Amino acid sequence: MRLALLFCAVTVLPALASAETNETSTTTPLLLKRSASLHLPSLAVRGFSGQFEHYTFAKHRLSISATGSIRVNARRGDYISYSYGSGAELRYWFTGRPIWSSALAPGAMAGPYVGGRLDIMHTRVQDEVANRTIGGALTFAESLTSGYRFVWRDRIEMTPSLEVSVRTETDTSSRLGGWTRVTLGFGWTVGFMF
Amino acid sequence: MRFLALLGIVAAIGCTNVIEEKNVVYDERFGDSTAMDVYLPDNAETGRPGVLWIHGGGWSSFHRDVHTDHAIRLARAGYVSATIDYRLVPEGVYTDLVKDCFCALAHFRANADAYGMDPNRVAIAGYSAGGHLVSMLGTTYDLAETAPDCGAGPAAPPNAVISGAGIHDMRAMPASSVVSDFVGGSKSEVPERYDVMSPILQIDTETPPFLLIHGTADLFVDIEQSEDMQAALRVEGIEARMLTIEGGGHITNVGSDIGHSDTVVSSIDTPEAWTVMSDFLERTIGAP
Repeated sequence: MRLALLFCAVTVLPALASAETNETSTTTPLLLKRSASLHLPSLAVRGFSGQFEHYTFAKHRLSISATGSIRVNARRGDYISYSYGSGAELRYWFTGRPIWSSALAPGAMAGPYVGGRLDIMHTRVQDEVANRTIGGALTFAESLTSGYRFVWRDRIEMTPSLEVSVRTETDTSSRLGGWTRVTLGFGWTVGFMF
Repeated sequence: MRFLALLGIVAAIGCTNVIEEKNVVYDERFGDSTAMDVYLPDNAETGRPGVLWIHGGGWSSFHRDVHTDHAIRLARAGYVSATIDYRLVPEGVYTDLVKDCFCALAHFRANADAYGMDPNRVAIAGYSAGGHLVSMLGTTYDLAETAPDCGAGPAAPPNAVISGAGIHDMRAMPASSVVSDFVGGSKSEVPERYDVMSPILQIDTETPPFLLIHGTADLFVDIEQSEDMQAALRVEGIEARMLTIEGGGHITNVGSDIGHSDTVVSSIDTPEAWTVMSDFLERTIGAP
């Protein structure tokens, strides 16, 4: 499934993008208001993280995105864990002038941005030796993000990012109390603008 | 923000405050190099379990503060918890570090009454080089080369061991100055020292239960170190559990963290690790 998605991302979508761009690039500049993307490193492990972004307040260069993720962790040892997460982010796009693309309109969702995001993730851990659920955790994160969106063929976007988060973890089995700490993160998404 | 504040209040319910005893020197001969911080639950209970944290840093760097958050989290849950320093390379080499850790453990237990702790319910935990040192304490308590000569008492094994990204077979480590400076020579120069510093060769039927935690993408310490240690422990009939973190590196978790990013944390800082560690402690040294 993940291979199929990846194949689609790197072959079919660029072809579609190229066809559409050829028709439109000679007329009016594109102001694409939506983007669907994958967090590429999540495919390298047993997980999947996808994001949908909408240029809701294009006039003010503000976009809103929603993220959903799932991962299966700790498979090789005596435990297995499942995590489900979701999040939302508000981004401000500075210049809106992407490199590598001439057809996008000024003010597009491209180039540098800063944002703020909220995430929540639930993790459940199973003891495979004793065949029992041993507990889990609920994690909340508030993050400041910044990144740069490269756009290729006017449609394909690649967005590396950095973030600083304040994350609070609570133990759902009540063995441990809450734990708040600051973490650094980095991301790398590839997606399709439409 | 208000939601998170509410969450914090909810999280704090049932947790106790923590009393801190800082800079407790456990071996006067080496002063601040051999000091510990102790974190006590703020209640009058006695017979509590204890956890001693030993930091990593390639045996030559870092400080006990890297585990302060971990110790406080456990103390809030009712464990007596401590973080220790030990002599680092070049001040301490070879078995000096292990002897210091044994002294710290003996000192921790010797003060069990003052801490409201049961000396027979003490686990040790460490990461990276700290993971190696806790593994040494779990296996070499009866080895002449690592017997401590401090006043706190003889070496005694801990009641449980949590080793994150630990080195268990020093002979399998790639040649590097980090390793040779610590051991005191290369594998070809001092092979017998590499044997002594390999916990995997020191296991016997008295070895305490182990929890091994390792990331599958750890480029500093190969996950085979923990996998081989688990297999060797099980051969001797010792309880040895292993938690692997998919995509977990030595200091990052790639593609496997909250939201849309990869986070700079070690494998023992993941929600999975804390869930498994708290369950392991409850099963081995008992709940607070």
